[in-house]
Amino acid sequence: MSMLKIKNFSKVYKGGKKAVDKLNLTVEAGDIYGFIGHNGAGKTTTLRAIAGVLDFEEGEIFIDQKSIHEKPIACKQVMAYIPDNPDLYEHLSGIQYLNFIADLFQVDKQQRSEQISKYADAFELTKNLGDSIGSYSHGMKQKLAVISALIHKPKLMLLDEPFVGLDPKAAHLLKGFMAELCNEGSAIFFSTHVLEVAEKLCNKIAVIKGGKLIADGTTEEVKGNQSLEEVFMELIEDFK
Amino acid sequence: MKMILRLTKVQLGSALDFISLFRKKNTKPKNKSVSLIFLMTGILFALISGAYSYIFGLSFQMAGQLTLLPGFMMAVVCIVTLTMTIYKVKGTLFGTKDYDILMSLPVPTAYIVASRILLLYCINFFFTAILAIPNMIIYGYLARPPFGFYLRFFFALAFVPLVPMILACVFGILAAAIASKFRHSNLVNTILFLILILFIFSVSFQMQQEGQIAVLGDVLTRQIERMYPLAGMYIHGVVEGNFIQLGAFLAISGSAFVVFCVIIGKLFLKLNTSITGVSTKSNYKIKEYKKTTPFRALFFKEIKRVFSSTIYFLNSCISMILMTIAVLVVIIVKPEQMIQILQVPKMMSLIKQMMPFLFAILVGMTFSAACSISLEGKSLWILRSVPVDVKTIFKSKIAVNLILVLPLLTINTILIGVFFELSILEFAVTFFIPVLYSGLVSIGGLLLNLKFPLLTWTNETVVIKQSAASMLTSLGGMLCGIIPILLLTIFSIPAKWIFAGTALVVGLLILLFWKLLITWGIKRFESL
Repeated sequence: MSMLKIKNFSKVYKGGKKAVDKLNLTVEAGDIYGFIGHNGAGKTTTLRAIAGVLDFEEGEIFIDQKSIHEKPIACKQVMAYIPDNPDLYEHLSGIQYLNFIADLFQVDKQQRSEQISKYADAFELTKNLGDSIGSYSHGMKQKLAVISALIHKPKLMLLDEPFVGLDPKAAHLLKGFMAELCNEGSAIFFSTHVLEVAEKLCNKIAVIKGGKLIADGTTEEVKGNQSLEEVFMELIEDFK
Repeated sequence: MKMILRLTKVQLGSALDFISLFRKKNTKPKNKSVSLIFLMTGILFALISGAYSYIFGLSFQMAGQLTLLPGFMMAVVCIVTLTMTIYKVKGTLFGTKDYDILMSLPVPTAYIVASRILLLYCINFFFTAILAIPNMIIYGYLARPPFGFYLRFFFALAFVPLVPMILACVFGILAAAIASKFRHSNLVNTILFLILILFIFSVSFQMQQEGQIAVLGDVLTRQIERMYPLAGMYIHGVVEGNFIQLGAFLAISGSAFVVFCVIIGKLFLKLNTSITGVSTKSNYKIKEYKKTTPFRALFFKEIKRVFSSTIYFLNSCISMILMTIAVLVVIIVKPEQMIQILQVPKMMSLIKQMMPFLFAILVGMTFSAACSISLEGKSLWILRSVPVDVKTIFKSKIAVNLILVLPLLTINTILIGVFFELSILEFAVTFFIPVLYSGLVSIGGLLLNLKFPLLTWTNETVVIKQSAASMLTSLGGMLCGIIPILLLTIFSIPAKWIFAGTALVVGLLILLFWKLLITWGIKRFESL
């Protein structure tokens, strides 16, 4: 069952810049789907459009069989999105922010307590939850954003460069939580520049260049006998 | 000097980017409507300054004290500069987003400090010119001074904002430094600022009172000099052509500026670290949590946002606080004066008729909703990505605006109702007319913010005090309150028709704006 289906998605910004050009992609339940490409290739635009944060006119995007245009609330209810540099509410404390997000997703009290406890302990952020987000380092904000995405057990998780700013232990933990989520039937679609992580973690890869999809499929199909880095460099050269 | 000017130019460009007039090609597109609004607001303030100067000029002329007019306006300009600059200390002088980058460069700290102070000066000079030049024109028209006055005026104009700017910076630094020692530093900062703002208001109110009394002789001069000594030097120097006094004015202003720059330059690193530090306890333990509805969650998030920012809180609540103080002054402090005024024929009925609209004007100046979208800034992605419909988000922002008004409005209406022995109908009108205005300003402000959003701000002062949405909402709110007063006083239309007409018009506008908000507004929010 497809958790995410992108059909002929295109996005043109004001001034005529075409950021994404007729993108077609499907993410099934259980997939950890890596989305790789050079800077400005269209990764963030795609992720934001799926998350319902960016409006678009061409194409369609379906989350759990529902159109993001026609049923945005229902789509967002089953999703979690973390942008590449999550600007959070600095006037709230960590726990206030988590409760705020949990309220908006209508997470019940018990699940909320369990999830916050589990993830905050794992990321060693528990003792800082009472402090204001304004006092957090970048990495702590990133961890808090990840926790807020996990507490409502999303069916589809969208992450834009999630490992940037995380210390090695937190990055390792995040990979573990991503795998755990997918084993429970969810799907993850994330962009990254760290090709080794994509190679080890993802069962499927898509490569985007200049807004166009130039390769997609299982990790084995995409990289063949080479490393992902070698394949990526070749693909970027071929499509110049 | 070249490096200081270079740094100032870059920072000025960034600070004024929201006006967009100065944007080069191939950068962000120019927003002509925002630039036009900014221009029109400047013109409007200039016209208000001119009208204010003319009214006071005539009073001074009758008292044979016309030479006091420029000094009086200079004192007013200083109060405005003081009030506006204290908010900018944190965000323009300290705690700026480019602090790390600049301080890591091989540039002397003193240059960085000088460029920041020059940036503040440039912004203040702009407002000084808007207020002072119309005053000069009016004085020129009434007094026909010699050509030398105009030369001295323009020369001294550059020095006028210096001392009030420095005083504001000193207060802002002290307040921020004191507040940073406390866990709830924002609350402490807000209380200190509130005390200062109330003090400034009481001084300017006293100035207006004494300016309106056309007193012969030296009494008025001495009163102005007592309130602001530099104003006296300004009068003697610029208006009367006393070069020693003019020299003293320039020397005091200029040297205060230089000394301030030198001192702050030496203490900049220490002050910045102290002011921008955030207290942490790092001892949180997981508890049991309560679940609430999305509307309540959004509402409490918005309320915390208002109270987390000194300038947002003061800008949103100061008019209601002033309303309460005015009511208490009338009732408790000076009941005998009030009773004397009320014994004047028809005064009682005039006050009862105007009260709803006076309250409405103050209520109209509480417009937290008008900057609530812009203040989401780079965090807007959170509201865009959560499963909450946009109408609920809008309702929470409107609800916050209303809750900032209703409690104090209720208390003030009850107090005034008891003191003036209002009938039930009069009480209802005094309460419900301002409530309608609050609804209008909340919904209208939100619409304007959607039309003119400013999401890429680095200093929230720009959003709260200088954005197109804030300026238009405050002007619109005031005008809506002034029009019925004019109809009541100048055109002598019976009060019951004014009340009914106002309630009908404002009610219809609320319905129209609400419809616009849930149709165009939602689409607009989704496209941001």
